[in-house]
Amino acid sequence: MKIRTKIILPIVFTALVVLSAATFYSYFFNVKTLEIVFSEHLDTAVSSRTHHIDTFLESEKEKIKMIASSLIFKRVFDEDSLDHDTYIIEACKRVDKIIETDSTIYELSVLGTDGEILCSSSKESIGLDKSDTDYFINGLKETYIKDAYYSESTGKNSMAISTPIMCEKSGCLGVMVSKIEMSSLNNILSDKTGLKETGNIYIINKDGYAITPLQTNDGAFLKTKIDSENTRNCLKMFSDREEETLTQTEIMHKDHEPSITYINHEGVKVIGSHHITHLINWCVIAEIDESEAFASTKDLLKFSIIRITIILFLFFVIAFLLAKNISEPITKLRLGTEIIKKGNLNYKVGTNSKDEIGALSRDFDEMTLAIKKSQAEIDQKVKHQTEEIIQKQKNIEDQQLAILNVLEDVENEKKLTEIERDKIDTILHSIGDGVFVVDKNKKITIFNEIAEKISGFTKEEVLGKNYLDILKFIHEKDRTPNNDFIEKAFTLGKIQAMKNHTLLIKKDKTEVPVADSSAPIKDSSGKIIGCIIVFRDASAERKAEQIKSDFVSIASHQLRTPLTGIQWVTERLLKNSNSLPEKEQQYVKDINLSSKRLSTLVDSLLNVSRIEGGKITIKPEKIELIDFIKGYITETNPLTTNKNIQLTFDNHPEKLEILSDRSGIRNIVQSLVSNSIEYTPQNGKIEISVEETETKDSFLFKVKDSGIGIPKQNQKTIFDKFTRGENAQQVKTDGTGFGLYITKQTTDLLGGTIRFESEENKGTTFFVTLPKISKAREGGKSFV
Amino acid sequence: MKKILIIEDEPILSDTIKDELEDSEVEVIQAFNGEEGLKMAQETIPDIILLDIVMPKLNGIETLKKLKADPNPTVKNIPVVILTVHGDLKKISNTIELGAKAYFIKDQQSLSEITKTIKDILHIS
Repeated sequence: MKIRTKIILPIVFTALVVLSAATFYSYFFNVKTLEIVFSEHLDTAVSSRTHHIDTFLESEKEKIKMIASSLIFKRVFDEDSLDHDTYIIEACKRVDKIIETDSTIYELSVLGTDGEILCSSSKESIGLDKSDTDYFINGLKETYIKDAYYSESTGKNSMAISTPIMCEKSGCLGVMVSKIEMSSLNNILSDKTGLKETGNIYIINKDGYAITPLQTNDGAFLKTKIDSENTRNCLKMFSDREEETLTQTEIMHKDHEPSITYINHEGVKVIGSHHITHLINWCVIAEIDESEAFASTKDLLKFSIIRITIILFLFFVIAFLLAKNISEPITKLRLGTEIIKKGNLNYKVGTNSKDEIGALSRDFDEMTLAIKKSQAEIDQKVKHQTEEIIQKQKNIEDQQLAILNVLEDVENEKKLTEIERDKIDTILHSIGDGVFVVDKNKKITIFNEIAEKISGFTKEEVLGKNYLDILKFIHEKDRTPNNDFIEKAFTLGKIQAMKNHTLLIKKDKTEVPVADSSAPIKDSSGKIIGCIIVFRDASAERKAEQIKSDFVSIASHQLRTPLTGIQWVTERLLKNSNSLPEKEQQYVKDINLSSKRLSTLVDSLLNVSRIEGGKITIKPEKIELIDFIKGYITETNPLTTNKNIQLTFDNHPEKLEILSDRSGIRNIVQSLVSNSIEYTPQNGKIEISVEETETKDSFLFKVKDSGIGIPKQNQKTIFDKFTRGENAQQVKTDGTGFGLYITKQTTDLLGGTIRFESEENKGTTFFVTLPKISKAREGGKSFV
Repeated sequence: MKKILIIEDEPILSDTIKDELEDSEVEVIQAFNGEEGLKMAQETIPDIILLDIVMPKLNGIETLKKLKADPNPTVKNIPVVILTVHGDLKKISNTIELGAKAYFIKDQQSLSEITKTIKDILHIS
């Protein structure tokens, strides 16, 4: 459905509904109003006529009663009077006179008690016996109105009123009867005020017969029985009155009913009203054609329809203009879209209207512009990328070719590798130590025969499995895992020695001491791709070591006591040396010195044995380092004084509290200071200093001497066991070569480092950096 | 005259130090194991005790503990100087904690040094 239709249709439809509703409402309202108005008119008309008729009948009644009461008519019945005949003549004369003057009564008669007409305006009827007539019988008792009837004697549509003639002496004597022509009523009924052209008023008697002329039928008198809803209602009221079911008051009020619409005796739809008279059972009926009553409403309807049509047309025109105004730019926009859809991005809708649609059109134009731009960009990109793809494809083709070449190479390489592997396998099998290789995922790839022998696992059981799940290396002492040497080979990429006292748990859960190392395997780029582990059964070694250790320990202790004896005895001898010849004195001195050297040697041996056996305990305790060093310096006083060496300890903090191993610290201080004194010539200089490092968690202990220095060729090995500087051997022949080795090991055990700077014949400076807080270590023995 | 008790299982050492000390005109009595030494200390109440550590019967450490726990305050308060060989540093530090006055490492210190210290403690020249 087009937008235009969508706008017009609801507007027109709404207008139609509203207008129709309003029109029909007003039409029905009008009809109702008219109905009420006409009902009222009819009611008013019918009641006023009824009243007229009642008044008329009442006055006629009173008139006859008045006439009857006049003396002249009473005298007629004074038969005893002498003038009786005269009286009759006078009475007849009076009757004639009354008829002459009265317009309504056409016949007046005086009837005797026997019903004989004594006197009448109709001379022919005088003497007739009327004793059987209803007006005579009823007239004897009271005033009586005889209903309309056709008088055959006069040929007139009549009604009669009779009344008794009463005399004082003998009661009722006769009856006075007046006859009235029915046309007398026509004057009353001809008044059609309030009734339109079709309006009609007529009277029916108690039997339903018309007693006045009808509009269409003048001779309807007592001939036409009127049968309609309205007359039936009248007859019902008469019967109610007869049956006296209603009280008098009710009858008074129940003499009429509201107007109704019905089909009358002529078959015409009418509005009608009725009213009954009081003195006689007559019903006055007024009717009016409905078509005439509602004639005006038809005009109204006609006018209304014309009005609706005009208004609807106006609405249509307005809606059409409105729809056009709205739909035109939209249609334009739609046409624009069609054009652009077909690919013409240069098209512009260009609406000038300032409403939303205008804005939309302008936005649309902008959008088209934007699309045009971005399409151009996309085209550019696509072009560019297509070129790139073509280039890449070319590259890929080149690479494919290269890969094919490489594959060929790899194939050759593989063959070579297989040959190499065979060689390696042969070598591995020939090696006397256990060897296994793990890849970068720690999976075992090679496992030689000796490894099988030591561990108890077969090659098939271990290959392809993570070594951690199979081969458990543990510390002998605390039985914690000890596979650091393998892991470190991976992380550090350097050869790692297995820690001392490592056990391997065999397949049968027994343990075997093992030793040796692991080494990373690197590819050509230096990336670590695996690790080779070499291990041997160290049971025999371990046993020998233990024996050695025990021997050293026992021997050193047992040696001391006799050595002390020798020292003390020689000292005693020297004290009293005067008693000995000079040469013997020298012998005793030599014995004393030798025993001291032997004692020192025992100490060194014991320390070396403990260090190498991993038996050193590090027990950190509080040490005030400055006082500790000063104390040792004091001990060396005799030696420095002897050689006139200037030993200073000036550069140090006032106090420095550390948490370290007392024996270890003493070993380091003693070894470096005593060495410097030993190898510094007469009059030399020694400077000792202590300073905190920048990080404050360590300190530097420095011993600088002006001694013989360490020759270049010995500098690399100076911390090794049994190694001494060549020049030192000349100065002091009895050195063991243990001193700096023990110092280095001790420094390591305390978590520190040692280095030196030296120039032959100029001097040496040792730098020892130690943490202020050393880690505790449990080994079983302390330094000596 | 000051009385010195030497508790030392090695007769050569005990005799040598006895001779050295007697040069300074002091009385020296000897015991050759801990048990004997303890008994002599309680009976003779010496002015100072030289106590070896590695000994048969009752070792030096146990002897020291008993001396320091003696009900007789005089015995309890006798100064004790420890004699030992190098290599028992751990034991030495224990003895100081237990109430020893001083210690000597026999093979490291000369007789004269030992005598000097003892004389200092006894306030004799």
